[in-house]
Amino acid sequence: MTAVPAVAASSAALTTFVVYIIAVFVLAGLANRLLQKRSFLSEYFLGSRSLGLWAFALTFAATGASGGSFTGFPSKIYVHGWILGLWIASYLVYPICTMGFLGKRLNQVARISGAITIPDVLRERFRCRELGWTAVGLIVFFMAFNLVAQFKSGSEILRTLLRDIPLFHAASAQLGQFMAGIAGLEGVSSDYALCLLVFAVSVIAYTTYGGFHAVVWTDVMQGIVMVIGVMILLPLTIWQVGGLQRAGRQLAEMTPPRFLLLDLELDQPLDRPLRAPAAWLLLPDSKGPRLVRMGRDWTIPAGVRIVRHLPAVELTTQERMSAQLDRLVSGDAVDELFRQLEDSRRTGRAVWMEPTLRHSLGPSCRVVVTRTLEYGYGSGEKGVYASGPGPTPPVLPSRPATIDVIGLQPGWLVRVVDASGAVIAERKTLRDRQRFAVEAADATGAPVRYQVEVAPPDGRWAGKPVELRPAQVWSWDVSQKSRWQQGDWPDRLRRQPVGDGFLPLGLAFSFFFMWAISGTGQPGYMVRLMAFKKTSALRRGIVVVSVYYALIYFPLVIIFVCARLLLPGMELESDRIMPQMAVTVTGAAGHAWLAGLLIAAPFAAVMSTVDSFLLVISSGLVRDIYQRSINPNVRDRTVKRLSYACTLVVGLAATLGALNPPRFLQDIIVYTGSGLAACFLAPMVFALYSPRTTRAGALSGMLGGFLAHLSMYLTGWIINGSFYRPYKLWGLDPVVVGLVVSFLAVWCISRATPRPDPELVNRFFMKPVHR
Amino acid sequence: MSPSNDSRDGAPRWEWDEVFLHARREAWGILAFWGVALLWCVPVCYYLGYARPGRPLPHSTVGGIPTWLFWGVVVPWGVSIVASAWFCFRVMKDDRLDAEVEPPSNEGGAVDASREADS
Repeated sequence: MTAVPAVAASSAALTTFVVYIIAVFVLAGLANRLLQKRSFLSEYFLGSRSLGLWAFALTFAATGASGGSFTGFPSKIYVHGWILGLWIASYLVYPICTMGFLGKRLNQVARISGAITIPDVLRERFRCRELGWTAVGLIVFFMAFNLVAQFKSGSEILRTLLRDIPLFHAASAQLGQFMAGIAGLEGVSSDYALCLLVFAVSVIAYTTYGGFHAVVWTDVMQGIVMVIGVMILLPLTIWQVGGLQRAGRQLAEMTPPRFLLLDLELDQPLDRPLRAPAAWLLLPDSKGPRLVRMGRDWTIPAGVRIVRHLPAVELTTQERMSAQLDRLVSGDAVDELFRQLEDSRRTGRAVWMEPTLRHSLGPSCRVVVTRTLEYGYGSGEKGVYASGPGPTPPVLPSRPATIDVIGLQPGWLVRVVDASGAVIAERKTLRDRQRFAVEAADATGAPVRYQVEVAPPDGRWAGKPVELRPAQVWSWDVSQKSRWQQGDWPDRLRRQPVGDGFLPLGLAFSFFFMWAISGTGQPGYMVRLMAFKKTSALRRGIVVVSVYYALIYFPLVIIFVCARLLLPGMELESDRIMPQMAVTVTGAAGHAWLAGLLIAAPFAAVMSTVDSFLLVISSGLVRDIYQRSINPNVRDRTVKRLSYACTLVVGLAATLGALNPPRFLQDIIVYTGSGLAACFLAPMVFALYSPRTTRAGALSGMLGGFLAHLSMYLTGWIINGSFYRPYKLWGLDPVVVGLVVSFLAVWCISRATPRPDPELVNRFFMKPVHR
Repeated sequence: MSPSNDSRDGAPRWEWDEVFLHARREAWGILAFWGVALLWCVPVCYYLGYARPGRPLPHSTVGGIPTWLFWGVVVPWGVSIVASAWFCFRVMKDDRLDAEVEPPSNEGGAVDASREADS
């Protein structure tokens, strides 16, 4: 395979990106000219309900395909395999559900009431101010969090795009100097801040300036970029793996890798820091060399002799190891590699596959495996990537410490037992020393207790309890037997639980339910359903989006299961698999410039989601809070200024939030998406289809869904120790619980309260007979 | 549900809005569509492709795609596009959305449609 110079690929990507941004601003300028001609509010927030087929279909499709479709989703496919085909299967009915279920009726009710936002629709339908306010409050609450996550996601994609460009490094260094004196920005990396700034300025500027039409037109362009990107990547990938049939057979033979933690021991500290990529290396072993890839880019600081806890991935499938070695080594380097392998058997030192590292580190660096973690489900099983449930990778210690057992004799067994009595690591030693890297802080940050045990060949275990803190190195000299103790651990030791794998049956049902049904309940998508001009645009739009999603989502599954064959060992940085695949397959095909187009796809996906959310939030604040509740007689010019200002302020607030973003971005996106569905779907369905529904019913459904959904997360926080590991009642996702409660609440409370005003019902459900 | 209401005092008569009736019928159709997809995809994938005690992991493929995924997701995906097109072009009605209905006055012909919708 031809290697592509990273700088050349990144330059091509940068050129594409600049062209793309220019196009976005041209579209925003054109959209702003439309604003001058039409009623400002209706045009700015809803495009004057004038969208035709292609604009409607592609803005809906692009808004639905968020950044996760091109970052988180490929990453999951890479890690779990073909099972992601079932995970995403609900997308086969997603367009007809999300567009057809509410579309026609919502558009009609919005026209009857003159509503231009979702809270507006609910407020008018039930003639209830409190419902409108509650809806605005929930939208701002959920979408503000989601915006922060999307801003961070956009910045990370941009950082990947620019990471090898010298100009970018120079600019980020300048920014770093500027940031150095600003309080609150101490922990923010300057390259991330620069990317966030570029992303935020571009997306806020075009959304603020052009309003809904700018968002729609850029969505159309972004939608086209996405589908072209996937359509190019698919055949290139299949060609690279030698055909899908062959790839399918190889994937069925593949076993999951192991995760390792490594210590690098240098003979002498380095004078200057050494920054290295995620390089490959061969570790000598009695059963043959082990092929290992460093988990991510890493650094050896100057003046340090031991670098601890570097994560790495070890391949376990013989055929994959051979194929990868063929890629890494060719020509004369093969002979040199064999010589080094011979040496490594004698010296016990690793062989680095990267020539620079081989010469700089090879002779003077010892690599010690301090922890080996097998997959929780699927370890050693052939076919686990091609069946269900999918394999689940182990969790590496996030704040590790080292247990260093010395004074051992060959043949002794050593093991580490956690407080529940589970054996987390066990080794038979050939040397006088064994090192173990273990987690040193629990979810709350408290120290973790272990028992370290040794057994001489007579098989009698004895041990010593220890409480560890992050980065601590705890040593125990077992040759001093007088210091051996018994801990208060359970007598019967157990292995760590295997787990249910990725997507067991209950969750498969939940996800099928979640994508289509919760997608239907998203206010960001609903507002697009209020913007098409005629029902013919809706009918044809559903078919267009159905074909569009079929061209995007299943091909993505094929591309990124094949990525396991082309780019093995990337489990620890699988979020980078999309740009890495783009660079790899286009480079191998001799068209590095195409990488820019492919990398623009995820960026376009994030932008198209962010711009829509920005408008939904600002429209809620300007239209539903200020104009409808505070100052109904506000002048058009003031509304215009307020709308611009509000979009700008919301965007800036999200940018500030993303400077120090919370850790669990994907989990936040899941929480906000499912929370919005739990709040909005039932009230909207009943508002549109049931004349008997009362304002009390709608309000209780909205709040009931919110509280039920939130309670699953809070219960999970108490039971599982993390807000983002929600409690799954009967194995079901919280969104299912939230939706059931919300639907029941609307129905029951509506039945229990007096019938709605007949005048209101006639307005939205009846028409006068003219004879 | 009766289609119209007679008013004894000569006020305008009201009937169910056609857009509402069409949209509601289409919504039921879409719900059924989703249900069929759910009841096909997940059980077929589970039956053909999930590891179960006493059964080896499935290895067969169709054109490189695992057999369970081919029959459980790929084929239904194709069918669903055809079915969506049929539903959109044959079942869904084109309705006029732009004719706004004037709200009726408080006196006269307003009828309690919510009561009828219960039936």
